Amino acid sequence: MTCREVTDSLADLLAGELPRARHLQLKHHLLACTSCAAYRRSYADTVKLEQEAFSDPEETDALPESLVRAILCARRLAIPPAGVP
Amino acid sequence: MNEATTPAPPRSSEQGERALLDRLRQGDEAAFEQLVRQEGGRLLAVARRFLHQEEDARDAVQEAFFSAFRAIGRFEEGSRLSTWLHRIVINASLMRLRTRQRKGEESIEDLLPRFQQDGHQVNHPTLAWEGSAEMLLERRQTRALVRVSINRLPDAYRTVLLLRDIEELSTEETAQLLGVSENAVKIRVHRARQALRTLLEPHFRRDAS
Repeated sequence: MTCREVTDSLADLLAGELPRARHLQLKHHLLACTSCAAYRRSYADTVKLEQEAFSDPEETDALPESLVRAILCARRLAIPPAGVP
Repeated sequence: MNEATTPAPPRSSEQGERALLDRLRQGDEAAFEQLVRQEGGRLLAVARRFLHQEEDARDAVQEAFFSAFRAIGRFEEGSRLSTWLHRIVINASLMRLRTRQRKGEESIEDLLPRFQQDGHQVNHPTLAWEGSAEMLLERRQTRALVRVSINRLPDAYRTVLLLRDIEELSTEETAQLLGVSENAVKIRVHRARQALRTLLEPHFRRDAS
């Protein structure tokens, strides 16, 4: 297995979708190639970092009051209450 | 962003959600307001991830609620309102994104690893990062750096990355939303992660500090 093949297999490895024989080949390569081993770790860390990048609870604040009003007003104008012609 | 806001009420339980759904179907004005206040902040956060302009994100949320109000009669029992709204705001954000042309995107090819004919990397060997993701996240600026780096990706790749890794949609759902094959989604998400890794590397590589 070449370095290119290792790199191409990382998404499947992370998803646990790599066939067993391919997984073994990849593990052997990673034991011998420090560069690919470092790439695999940093690839996995990249995914963890992106997943955590938006996890800040302060990011999810309440909707601005003006937007709440605009949404409800648009609904009233477009969809009149039941019974109103 | 300095506009006064009211705190969002706590998320409803399953029982509360069923009662809310009944009221929405009856056209209860207070129920619509409750839904907007309860779910709106979270939906705006989703729209902001896809859209670069705050105005576009707010418009996408407004469009999403409007679509939801019109379709509330077709909402399937057994689904979660929050999940349903999440999908609707993603769709509204993607539709708005398609109307916006971006300038100054990075070329994805420049951010991917290169290999020689024999399959070995062209560049110098990859160096380990100076800490695990958990350790890097302890730095105050890491989250902001990652968000800025994601925004530097071309939209075709950034969108797939957000849908799969952040919004946690399946490959199948992502393919349907974008009108591409599942294989195309898999290739794009892998390339997007590789490109993001390249953008982060100078900041986290062991010799960086």
